Amino acid sequence: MKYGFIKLLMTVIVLFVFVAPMSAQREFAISSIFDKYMFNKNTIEVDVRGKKLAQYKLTYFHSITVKDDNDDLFDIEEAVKRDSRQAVDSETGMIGRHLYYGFYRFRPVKGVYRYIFFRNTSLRKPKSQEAVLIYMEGNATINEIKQMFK
Amino acid sequence: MKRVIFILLCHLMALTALAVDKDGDSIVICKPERVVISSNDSLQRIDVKGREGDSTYHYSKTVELPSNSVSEEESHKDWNIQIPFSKNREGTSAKPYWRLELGGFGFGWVVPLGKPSEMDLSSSFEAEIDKVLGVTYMKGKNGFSFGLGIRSKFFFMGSKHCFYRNGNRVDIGAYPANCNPKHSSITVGGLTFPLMYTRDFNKDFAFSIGPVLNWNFSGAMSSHFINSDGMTEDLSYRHIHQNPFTIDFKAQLYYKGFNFYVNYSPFKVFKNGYGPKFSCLSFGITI
Repeated sequence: MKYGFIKLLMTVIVLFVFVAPMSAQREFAISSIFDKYMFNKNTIEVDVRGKKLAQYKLTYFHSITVKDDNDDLFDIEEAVKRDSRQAVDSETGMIGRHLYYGFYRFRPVKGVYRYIFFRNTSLRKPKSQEAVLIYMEGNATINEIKQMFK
Repeated sequence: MKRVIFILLCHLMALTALAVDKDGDSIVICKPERVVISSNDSLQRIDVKGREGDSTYHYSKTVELPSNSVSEEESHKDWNIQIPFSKNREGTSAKPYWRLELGGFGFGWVVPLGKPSEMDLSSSFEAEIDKVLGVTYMKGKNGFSFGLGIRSKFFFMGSKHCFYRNGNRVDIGAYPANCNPKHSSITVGGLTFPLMYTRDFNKDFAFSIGPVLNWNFSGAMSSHFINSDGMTEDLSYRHIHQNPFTIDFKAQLYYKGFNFYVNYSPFKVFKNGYGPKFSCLSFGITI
């Protein structure tokens, strides 16, 4: 009985700590991409919250760097393009018919903006077969976030 | 068969006598509700229904006309004769009425006033629906209208300069070196609330003038070019800090189904400090 209660309490805490902050990301098509590559051995995942991000005016940073076949990288591109329809601001670069980079800012939820950044390096360096997908939350302008990547 | 029907409504103000008097062949009926005179080549019939204080009153008489009789008609100025199914738009004595107005698709050229020298626009125009819904209160030839419309203004830059985002501000600068410019534009749109005074000169010709309140809730900037290494870059922003509420002064001339308008907007397109400073004068046509 006591073990059951602790288990239930731990589950609630885990849900509160991890699922609740990710709920905004869940609204986007790219959330399925994060789920797909989260435990892939060829993927580098970065998940940051807290004071480290304050200097960038961000509250949440989540990225994956994926090494995969080009067809799979194009699946990521399609998810990004679907989300881009809701974007308030966007900066994109296309090589041929494919998205090389895309930077999107979305309407704020409870005063917090959401951002998606995507870059498919394989379009410039075919051998690399690498793409980067980043989801962020905060109150920075696009220019301020660009400074973070320089 | 020749038939003449006059339908007279009950506003015969000139009649002052209250009694019905018979004096030889004469009969006087005060304030009849309806008089119908029907005649053909040989007979004339007179029907009078209702009179002052007695709506059930009825008088009818048929007279045989001589073969060489001459028919003569005379109208009295105080009689207000209304022919059914016809619109009386003329005359200042017409009753006031409300007129519902819908539509009016307009297109106009926009002249930016006081724009910075580097803002070398290739074209600027506006498209509007003058009245998504509107009503006009007409009294005689004069009227006042108010309504709800939609309007968007478009500003397209030439090939030398482009709009770009500098922090929260929209600035104008040169395209990146060695790029192939495609387009650079600003769009500002929203709802319009025109409050116009209208003067009808006749059914084909009218004049309107008045202020138009604008709620510019939508604004966007877009720059599109192919850079030196062949990548197509598209920069699009929706939050450009356009002036959300502005007032224009509009004058329009209606002629045979077409509205020719001039619209002066003294307010700046952008909020102070968020973009190039300029206002607009536009002229166009609404169908």
